[in-house]
Amino acid sequence: MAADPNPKRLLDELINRREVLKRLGWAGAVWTVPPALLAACSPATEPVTERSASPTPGPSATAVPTASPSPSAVATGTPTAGGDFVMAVNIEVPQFDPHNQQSLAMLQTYEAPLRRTLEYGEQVPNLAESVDVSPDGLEYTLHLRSDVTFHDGTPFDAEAYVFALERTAYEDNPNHVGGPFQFWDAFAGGFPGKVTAIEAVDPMTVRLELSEPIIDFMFVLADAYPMAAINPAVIEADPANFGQTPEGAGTGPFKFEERVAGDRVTLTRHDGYWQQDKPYLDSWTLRVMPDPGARVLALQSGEVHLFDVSGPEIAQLQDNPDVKLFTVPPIFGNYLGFDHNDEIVGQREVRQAISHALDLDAIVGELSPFAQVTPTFGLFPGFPGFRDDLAWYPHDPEAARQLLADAGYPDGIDLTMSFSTPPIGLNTLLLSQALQGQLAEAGIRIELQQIDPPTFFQSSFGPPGRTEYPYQVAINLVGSDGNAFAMLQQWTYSANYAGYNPAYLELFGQVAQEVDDEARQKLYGDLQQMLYDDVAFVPLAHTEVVRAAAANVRGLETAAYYFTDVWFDDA
Amino acid sequence: MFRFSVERLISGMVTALIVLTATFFIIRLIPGDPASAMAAPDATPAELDRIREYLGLDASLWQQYLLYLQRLLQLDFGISVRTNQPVFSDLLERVPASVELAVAAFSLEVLIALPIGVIAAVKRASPFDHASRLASSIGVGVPVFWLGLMFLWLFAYRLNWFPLGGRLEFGSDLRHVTGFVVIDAILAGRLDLVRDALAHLVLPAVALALPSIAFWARLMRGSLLEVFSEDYVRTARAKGLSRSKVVLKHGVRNSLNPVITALGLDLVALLSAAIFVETIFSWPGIGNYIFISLQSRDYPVVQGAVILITLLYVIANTVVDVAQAKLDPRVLASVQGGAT
Repeated sequence: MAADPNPKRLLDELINRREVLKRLGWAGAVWTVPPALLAACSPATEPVTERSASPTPGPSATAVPTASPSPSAVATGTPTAGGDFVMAVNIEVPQFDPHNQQSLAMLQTYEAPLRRTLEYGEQVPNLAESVDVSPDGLEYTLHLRSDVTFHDGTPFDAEAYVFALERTAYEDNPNHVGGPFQFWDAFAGGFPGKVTAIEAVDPMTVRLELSEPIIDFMFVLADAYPMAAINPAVIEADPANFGQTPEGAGTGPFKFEERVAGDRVTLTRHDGYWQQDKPYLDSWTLRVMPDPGARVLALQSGEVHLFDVSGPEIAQLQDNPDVKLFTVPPIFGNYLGFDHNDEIVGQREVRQAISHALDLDAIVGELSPFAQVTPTFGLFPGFPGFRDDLAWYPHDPEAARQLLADAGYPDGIDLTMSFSTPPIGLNTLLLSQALQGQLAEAGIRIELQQIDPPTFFQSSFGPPGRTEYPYQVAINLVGSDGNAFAMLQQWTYSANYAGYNPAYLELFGQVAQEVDDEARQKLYGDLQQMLYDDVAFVPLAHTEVVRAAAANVRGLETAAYYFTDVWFDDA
Repeated sequence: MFRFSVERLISGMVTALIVLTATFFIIRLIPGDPASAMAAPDATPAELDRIREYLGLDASLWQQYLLYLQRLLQLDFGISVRTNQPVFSDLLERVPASVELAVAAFSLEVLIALPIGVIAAVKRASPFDHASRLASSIGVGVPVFWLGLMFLWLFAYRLNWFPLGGRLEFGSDLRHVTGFVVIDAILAGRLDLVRDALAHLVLPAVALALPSIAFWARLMRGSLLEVFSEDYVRTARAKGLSRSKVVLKHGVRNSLNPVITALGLDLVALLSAAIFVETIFSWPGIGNYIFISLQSRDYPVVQGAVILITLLYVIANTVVDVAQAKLDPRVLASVQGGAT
């Protein structure tokens, strides 16, 4: 186990990674972004994996009756080819340069060496048949598939792949134009950052060398934005703007057909796709429909086949026989964050009292049928390294009063609880009122303060180990796709817990250097223990992304973000 | 008349300059770094540096101001945080859709509201007058976002008379030449697509126009009734002119003044209402774009939109002033009388 002598420095270098996480966790705060940004770090789907086959008791396996295998949600029957699929989103796709823009549409057109599965934390081969990692975690060798072609028919090989990576990795590359290349920057920490060599070893092998370990580099290799395979000829034709006219650029199951600004993008089937007989659909369209009510009507009338739903729409659609609701990764969790600098909630006893005062089982089911009480914190259930033995401080109003008295507040306390209303996670407007009511019973009087999402979003994150946090208590949101390392890293900069417990920063610094899986998992456990012991946060509830689909669509349950296996059952 | 027009134009430009200057200072008066106010909430330090450089924050305030005006003259509104594209080209791409909708709604307003107002005034206290007054009260009071959604539900979803939003049926192979779908369809000689485009236009245009129709009808009626009580109308009647001549030539023409003032400004106000209507009807116009940008705190876009809408207001105001002077010599006379 190599302990870094200066974890703070290390974390500062890692800070850019938080950009990706922020986008993930807070996609909804920007309201318009969810589908696009969620896709950023979203797991892919292993075509043959059944969700229910998941060995870990992940949240999706215990969904409520309406969400669990409704007959139509399971991929039964023989897939039939054909059909034009339309998904409604509330934001458009401005362009198709995966090095600089994220969109669900681009995940259909571009591919990375690996793909994430619905199993949290797992990747499977995609453009690479296999990946060899050196024992020190500094060298990755990608053995590429030989049957892959770009959308214009050009064969894909190591040389082509290196060409694309060099474009985003090197600032002095002539094709490094047309954007900030933030996705590469985010994991590598600069250009080229920690990736010190990108080379084609032979026509089908690419070697990547790192200057220091990137613990979740397998996640990066499954990230179809910085790691996208892009047709060199298309880049060279117009390196800054090929995203506007990306014909022939990708290798994915669907190829770019047309984009109408503010209205839609249409992709059509890539006939030479390397997965035999796939995709099943003839075309796949992303249509911009910003109004939730209009989306519901469009789904019911058959004009649209799928969209993501948030709070109020779930209740509206739940009993509709023409619509099926189901959940896909990632997970979003609501929790209480504290200003550890505060005179009152800076005390551990008070935070524990707050946890004891809450009866989450009584309210969470009311807020969303897909939400579950988060049993403990640090990681979500089902993630690699999750500590299920750390049950959080349970509902016990007496204990809460006692703790408050011990802390010197026999008459209770007055707190301000801030919240915002992102369209993902739970309905925080209702949640905040429910919490207010329960806390009052234990003598914790809450004044609620609603903050506009952008402001709330901006102040929810800071540099690692920061000491400033503007809210006494806040209903925060965390999102994760199963990347345990990245999720535990969030607690170094989300609110100001780590600013008051440098031990967490230090321990996380060790994790960032630990390439041995087993040893790292143990450290993950230690980090969770620390969060628990300090009552760093109070977990509330979590839910996966909820989607509504037309009743005749099949194969969606394996298609969290890839539509290769989706087909229409019109029999 | 020429001098009047030039004066109006100059005063319009002064107004525009004041607004542009205010816009410039607002972003710099916000406490903290203007760059971080303009950047995406999760901008990286490198992105912030780029924005600082773009704003010229190293230079003096005066130089920054000149740089800002110079960029505006070159139609450079900056780069959208969200789409990473120049704001101006983003806006321009969406202008045709909005203009098409606004023109359709505006035409409905003029064609429906003015005749209703005239008839209501002429047949004052008749059942028609009462009915139109009731309808107007309801029309003015109904919020446009509710109306839009009800239209969608009733006419598109339940009755299936009209499409559920968007500008064209899916998969239609219309090439975009002018960006105005109806015109493009006509140019392509595709009657089926013209029909389709018009069908898509009906619901959003009516939803957009309805509250205004109610308002204009009332305004027209009131204005006309006022004119009817004027001496010259009585004289015209006494001269034995036909009723239609009295109403149209002496009545309507003289009562149009306040109506035109309001109509001109309304054309721009339609842009604001369009934010709701375009959102509900998935109409890919400026309103829709602004709505999304506001929510994602895309500051350059919001600033660009503020400037654009301001300029449109100023232009509309100027045109209205000139049109008024042209229609009613008294306006010109009063201004010139005051000036000389």
